Amino acid sequence: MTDADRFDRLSELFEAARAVPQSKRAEFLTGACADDPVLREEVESLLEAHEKASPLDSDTPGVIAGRIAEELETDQVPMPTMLGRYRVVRQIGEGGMGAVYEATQQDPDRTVAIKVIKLGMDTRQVVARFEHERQALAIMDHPCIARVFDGGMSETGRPFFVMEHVQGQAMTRYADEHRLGTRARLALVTQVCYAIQHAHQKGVIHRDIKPSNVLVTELDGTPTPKVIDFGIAKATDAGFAPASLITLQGQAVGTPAHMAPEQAGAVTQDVDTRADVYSLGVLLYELLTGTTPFDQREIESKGLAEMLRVIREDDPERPSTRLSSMGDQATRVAAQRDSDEPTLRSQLAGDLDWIVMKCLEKDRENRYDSAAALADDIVRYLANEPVMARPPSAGYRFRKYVKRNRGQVVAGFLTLGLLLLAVVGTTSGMIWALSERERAEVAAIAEAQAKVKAYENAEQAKIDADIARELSDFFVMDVLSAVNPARTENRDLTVREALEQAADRIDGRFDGRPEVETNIQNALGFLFSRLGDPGQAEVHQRRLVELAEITDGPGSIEVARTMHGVVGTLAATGRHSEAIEMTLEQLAILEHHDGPEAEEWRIRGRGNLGALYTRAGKPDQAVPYLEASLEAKKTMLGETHPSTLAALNNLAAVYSALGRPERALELAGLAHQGRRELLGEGDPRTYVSLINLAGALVRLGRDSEAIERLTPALQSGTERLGSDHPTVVDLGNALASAFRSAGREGDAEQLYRSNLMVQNESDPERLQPRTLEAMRGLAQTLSADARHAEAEPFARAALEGARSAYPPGNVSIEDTLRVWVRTLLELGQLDDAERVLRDEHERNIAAYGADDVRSSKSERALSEFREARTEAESAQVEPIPVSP
Amino acid sequence: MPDQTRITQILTATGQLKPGEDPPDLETALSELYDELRAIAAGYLRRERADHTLQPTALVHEAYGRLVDQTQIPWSDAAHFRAIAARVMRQVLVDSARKHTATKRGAGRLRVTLSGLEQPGDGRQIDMIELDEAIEALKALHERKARVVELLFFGGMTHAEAAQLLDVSRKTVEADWYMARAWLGTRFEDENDDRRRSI
Repeated sequence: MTDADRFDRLSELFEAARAVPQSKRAEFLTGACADDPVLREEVESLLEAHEKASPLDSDTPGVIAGRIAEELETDQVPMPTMLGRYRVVRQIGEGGMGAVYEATQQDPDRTVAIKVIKLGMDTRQVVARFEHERQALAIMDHPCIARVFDGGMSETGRPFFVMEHVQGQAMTRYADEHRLGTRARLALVTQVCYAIQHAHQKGVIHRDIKPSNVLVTELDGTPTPKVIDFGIAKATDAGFAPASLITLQGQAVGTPAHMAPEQAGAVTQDVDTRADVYSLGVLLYELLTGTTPFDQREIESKGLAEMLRVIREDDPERPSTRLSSMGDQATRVAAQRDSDEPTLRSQLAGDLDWIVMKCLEKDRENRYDSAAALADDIVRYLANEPVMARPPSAGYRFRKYVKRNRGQVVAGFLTLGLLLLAVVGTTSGMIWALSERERAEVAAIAEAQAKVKAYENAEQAKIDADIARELSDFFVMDVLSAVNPARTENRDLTVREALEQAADRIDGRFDGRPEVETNIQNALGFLFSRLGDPGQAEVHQRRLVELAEITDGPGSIEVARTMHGVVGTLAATGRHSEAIEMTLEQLAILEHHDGPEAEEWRIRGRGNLGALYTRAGKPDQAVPYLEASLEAKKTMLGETHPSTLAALNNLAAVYSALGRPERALELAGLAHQGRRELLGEGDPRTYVSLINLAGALVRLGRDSEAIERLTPALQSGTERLGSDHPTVVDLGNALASAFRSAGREGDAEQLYRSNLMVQNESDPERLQPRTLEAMRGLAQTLSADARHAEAEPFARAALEGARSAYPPGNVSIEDTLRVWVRTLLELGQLDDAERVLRDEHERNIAAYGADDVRSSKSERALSEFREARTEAESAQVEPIPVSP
Repeated sequence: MPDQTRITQILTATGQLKPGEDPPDLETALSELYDELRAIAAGYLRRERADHTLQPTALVHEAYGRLVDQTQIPWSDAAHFRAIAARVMRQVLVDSARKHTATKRGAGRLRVTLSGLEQPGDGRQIDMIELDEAIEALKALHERKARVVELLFFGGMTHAEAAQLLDVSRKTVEADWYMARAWLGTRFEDENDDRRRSI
């Protein structure tokens, strides 16, 4: 292995190990470098280095660049006595951009502030740019904007600006020293916003709003903000943003944290008024939390490249979150705001978070479109009116919903769930379990609403509101804020990841508050199942059962209710026997309860058992439950209710499978008639009932009737739904099967083949069960026509398909296996046939063990085959007895 | 490194190369860039106190801003320019460190701080020449990783920009950067062990 190869290997391991949680790294490395202790040591030292400072974090180049500069330029700047016609009195400030002097002017007689820019090279350009802007600066007239009077060039060739002399403190410092509360701070900021708006209307952008440029003076005892340095940023900016970053770095505030992302671009975008809106947001952030959105020390330590990246790409914490994460410091920050930490945090959470975050949007299109709009929103907040800051996002709508319906938390969660799903797109394939679960969710909404109505007293309402807030915090903050479609192309993945991350944070967080956790687990279970992740869904649904045992006690209706979700998930993943077991447990609990609610759940549970037994291939066990469920539906919902008709239809299918075609025909007839009246002839569900009806007719030997009814249906279905619609394919398969039964092999073959063709062209996944049926049917048809060699590949393909589509031992597999084995027998391939049967048996044993009913079934099939074979072979080889 | 046509395009677009005039050769263009970077550094010092460090990436930006009218140049050219400038910047810095070492014979190489928050000489210091050599060693092992270091550390590019320039995913750039960072970290670790501090 060359050094480069080894390095590549090292890189791979390092990257992989970084992704492994710290606690599992040792284990990972043991596995990955088992044969190479040296390699392991190297990876470990890289991981160690990863946590520590690297030479690439250093600003060594900066220091050397500074030294280069020092070598090239060493002159110092003494304080001038005169700057143009202004007499310099004293130096009042010193920033990275230059020194600030107090100076006097004679006509008019006034004291001014003069800022001298230490630019050296760009003097001419700066002055020219300033001249260009001066016109605009001169017409600005606002009590909160320090006037800019003049600009010029010093004798030593440095540009300077003459401004109104403002005696005041930086806004943040003033606010802290005077222990201004949040509302007073907000009031000050609105004044600044309106001043900035004034400038914007005059066509001037400040470009460098930060606390040190917003001074507060007291006019008649009232704090009044004054914005200084208008136009200077533009005049001095070389037109390339990072250059001005350096300027900023050198100043007292010393942070680029006030700069809008578009100002921190590698290639400067045109900066417009919304850059100022961003900076106002930073100012607001600082006034509210005492910190800038991006920690100054932290981003400075990363070097300029990283600093720029952070400004442009990273999302800052919300103000309320920041307050939570600053530890002891939060107490001090709150005290400076004449408040305590919890009060301040709850004050920030919500509207103020949103207002600030809207200013800090990376994409300026999403910010307030003007400084005035920001001010207006702050005023709205101060007046307790709803703010405009919230984007019309799922999170926002959800949050609004929760606020409006304080108590209806569960319902709120479903709303959130549906909204989230609207974001990610619904999963296709509405299978039985899912629709059952949806019904359960609808029931949950109703239940929650009923509970809410019962909450008459204020105390309960308060608890409820607390729950609502915690829940919305959890979902809006932990889940939705992590969902940023811009970050990844795969939106589905993002939502799921966000949910997974949020789910990871639940542990222990809601100890002692099972009501809160219940709602969260409920939502998570629902969302994961809709996202097609039954594994995750099951975890949360099972936890829900535990929580119900805690809140309502073991054996409570609540426990039975929560089991329903688990059952749905188990059913959806084909774990029928587990689902049946849990449903039986559920029904056992419900036995101990009376009342309409328990009765409703009993009915639902029995219905589930019926469906589960059917799916588990035990139709005989399913029948009593399905009959009971049908009766209940007839009584409760009426004969013609869609759900009753569905029960009729399903039961018909079960009787058909049980070999009771008379009963099947009767029920399918009722279902078909009901659906035709309710849904119309052309509804897929009506066709499904017709297929069951025809199937029963075929079993009763009434093939021609079946053909008579299916032929026009296939034609109208193709016209209405298209030839590739699953139900239309089913119709085709059913008709082909009827043809076969009637001995019309030619028609059957043609129809099966055309069905297979349709399915090859359209989405093969979606049609798989139907494809398998057509292949199997075709094999049977060809066999019936004594074309066994042609039939064999279709039978084989059908079995292969069935094995990949269904769990071992499934009825479809059994049926298809039978067809293939028969074909092999016809072809005289006895060894192959035996091998196929043996293989099947082994699969069942591997999946379920030797004692399972499926295993004994396949064992029986195998042994019967062997017996028959031995008999036949011995019969053949036995010499014909010669009569004496 | 981008070919000469790029330089020509840039110079032409900025009006520094009049139509019909022979394009300067790459070496000339680079040496102009070299001088420019040094000059800009001097310009900065007039604005900054000596106790404030200069970011070379800022110099690169500045050079770009001066030499090129950004609004006229498509991103790819800007990126290529910055890729060149990053390399030149590295050269400028290493040359300076060499010169400094030569003039201070026996005094050892200049060591400077690991963090901009500290005064020079205050924190842990690294050796620019050694770093340069280490980056060369990295280049021999994995050229792209060395290039990522150059683009990010000297060129001030973001991960996304570097990814676009190198025509790889951002994740790849990130992985390259972290690997390079850690690997270089291990190379410097031993001698600075006692003065190491967290960032």
